Amino acid sequence: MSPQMIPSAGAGSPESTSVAIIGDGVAALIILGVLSHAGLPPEAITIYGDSPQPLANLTRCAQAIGQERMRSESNGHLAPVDFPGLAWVDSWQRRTPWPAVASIFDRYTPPFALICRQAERLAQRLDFDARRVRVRVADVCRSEAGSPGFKLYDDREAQVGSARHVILALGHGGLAWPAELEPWRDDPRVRHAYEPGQFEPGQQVIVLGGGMAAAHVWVSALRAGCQVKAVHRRPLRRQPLNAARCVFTSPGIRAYQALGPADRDQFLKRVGGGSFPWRLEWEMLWRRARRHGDFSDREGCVMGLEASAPSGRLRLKLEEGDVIEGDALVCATGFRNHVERYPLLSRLICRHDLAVHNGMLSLTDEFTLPGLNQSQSICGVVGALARWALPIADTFAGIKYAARRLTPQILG
Amino acid sequence: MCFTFAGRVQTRLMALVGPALLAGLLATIHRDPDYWKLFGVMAVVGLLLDVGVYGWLITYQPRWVSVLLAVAEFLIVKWVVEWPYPLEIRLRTRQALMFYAPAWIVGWATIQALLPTLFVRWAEDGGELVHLPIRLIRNVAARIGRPADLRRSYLSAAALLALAASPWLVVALRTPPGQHFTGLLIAEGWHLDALAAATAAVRDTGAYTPVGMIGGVARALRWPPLGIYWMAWGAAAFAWLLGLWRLVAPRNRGGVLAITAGCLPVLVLPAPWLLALSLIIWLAALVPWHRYRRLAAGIRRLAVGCSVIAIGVWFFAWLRIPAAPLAYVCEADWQALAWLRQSVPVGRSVSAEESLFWLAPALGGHPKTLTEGANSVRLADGDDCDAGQVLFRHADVCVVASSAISP
Repeated sequence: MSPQMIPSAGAGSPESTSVAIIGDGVAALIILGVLSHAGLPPEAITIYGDSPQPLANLTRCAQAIGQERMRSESNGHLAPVDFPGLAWVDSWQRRTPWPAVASIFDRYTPPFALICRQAERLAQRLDFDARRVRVRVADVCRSEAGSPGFKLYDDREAQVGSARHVILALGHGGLAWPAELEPWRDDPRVRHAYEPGQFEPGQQVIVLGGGMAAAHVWVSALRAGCQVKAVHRRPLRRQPLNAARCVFTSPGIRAYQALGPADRDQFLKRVGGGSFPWRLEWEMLWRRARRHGDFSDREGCVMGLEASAPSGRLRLKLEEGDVIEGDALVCATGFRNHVERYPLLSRLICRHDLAVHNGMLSLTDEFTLPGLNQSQSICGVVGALARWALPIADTFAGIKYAARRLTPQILG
Repeated sequence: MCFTFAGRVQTRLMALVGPALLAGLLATIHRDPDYWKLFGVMAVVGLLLDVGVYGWLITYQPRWVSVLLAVAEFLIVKWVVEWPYPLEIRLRTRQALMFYAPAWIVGWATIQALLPTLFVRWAEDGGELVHLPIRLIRNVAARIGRPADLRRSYLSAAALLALAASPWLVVALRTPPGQHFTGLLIAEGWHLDALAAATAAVRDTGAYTPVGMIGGVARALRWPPLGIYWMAWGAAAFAWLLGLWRLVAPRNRGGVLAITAGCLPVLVLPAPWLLALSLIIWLAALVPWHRYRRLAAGIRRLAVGCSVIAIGVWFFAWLRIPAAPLAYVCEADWQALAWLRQSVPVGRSVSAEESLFWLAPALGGHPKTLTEGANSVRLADGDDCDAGQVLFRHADVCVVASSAISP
């Protein structure tokens, strides 16, 4: 598809307020909602990306692991205003009080389908597609001196647009694989949890990881009639959300933002380790499977993988010389969000000498890139790349939090 | 939801708007201002609990906990409403419930629906709607600590107070039948002076001192000033220990010594002094005193000395248990002193023998005198009651008029 010049008002006119959102996934939809709710006219916002629809990546990953319910609770949704939460919406749509009652006890998790329906309605109401330019932005540069703004270029270095403010909503940087398993990525017996695949009844499946994706894969594989051997680096951790609840609000966020760089690093490592919620149906399934010998789990670090024959069984080698055999291996090891996985960011880091801390962009606590900001023209970051400023930045609530803090900086 | 301190207070105030309107409506319909008083009690109880308890103990407050807290608050409000004074609310429980339940629902709807809709950042900002200066907030918040630290320090301060006050608790539990516990175990002189001023303030209005406020509360509630005095002492002691715990934080030997030293004021100081100290320690939250090394070193040396004295005083309190002369007052003396406080005009002095001589100003509200005069009455017992004009008698204790005055 050939690049298009941005049709939005204000393109090339430094005095107009315009926002370019780089990335057209779920974060872009949330940002569009927040900015529109704050009063920014729709024609002042343009979204750049080449996804078929905002929830394309999220849907693909959810389908791959068989996820039917979200981990988030009633307020973990895409709309710019928190009320009504999805529990109320679900109760109203199904004419039953139970979702709302469950929400009072923090037991409600919305169905994935409800999130998809909300995304469709929101995209329609906000005219998401009309705001979108279907091009992948490969570079962002400052406009000429004296005029605040940015110019956007595609991978053929053709300018595709310009804007006073830019928000990077680039999503995840790709699937994370253990280094020892990189040579096996093309083997049909080995796949990542977020890649599509089928389980065959009777298979022995080795699953690496101890987080939400791993838990879903264990459930899917057991329901398909497989035997599951789970391997995880750290002790399994059960918690309702992917971080302590106070990290989602001021008390926890202020405490986090008061930490120095080394302490933030430690905190992010602790929060970033996998976990999953306690769910009765899961626990009962795993307990039954353990009793029948169909499910086992152990802690261990992967040292290597080999096959007993070219299309034979796999042998996963762990530290201390242990070996686990299986017919298939699934890596539920999440995403790799190191800045080097983003070509656009690599260019920005080189050009503007942006600070990077252990592979993470070092943002201000207002979610902007200090090396790129000028008065009345900011470059904001949301999503997984913003975890330095907010540990839960890669959640719906975190994206909304960041968008709400960028809004006054954009509106001026 | 996780609230900040300021967020709790601001959210509570916003949630009270609906109940205020409801109180006004009911007061107008029924032409009964008691609904306003009930609303006032509901608001004050809620705010005090927010600032004094919830903000410290509850980090994350799920909705079901809010429902349980509402039930607990209703029981507290009901208890306060049943006090005969000073509010004199004459609503029945059913009437109060008919206001409280809808008022709570309106407040809850405000929090669940109205605030998130009108203020999109309300939940993320911990319930805050108006943001105080960031630097001040961050400084004070950093000094006070993280949510987990708040709960730990609150419970630790309560446990430390219980430990420091354990001799008093034992004496109170050992109160013989027919006796009243006065709380006077050690440092009786200071407490007697403060009690005398508080009891005198029950009659005087307009004293805006700590003792004046204690007397004012006793006057308003028509409760014995002794009870109000020890409640004030307990609250001040807790606030002092909590402030000390938060600001010093016993992460090292110096911190432990400072906390132990902090028990010394609790053991010996009367309530007004403790109230002043607790105010000072919380104001100190704004001053980064630990940056001044000489000051910090001096305070550490002082803490060592005070902690040794505090431990000694505490053991001394235990040793005094069997022998404290003013710890108990018999029922007859108690009634006589209450009569003195309530019925004898201001300006009279009291003469008495033995322990009653010292208790007369503190519990009777009149200055003591060694000699009878025109303006004095005498506390007497036994045969002495037959020797003069008896103004009051209970069992074998009486109040006798001075021979120079008429009753």
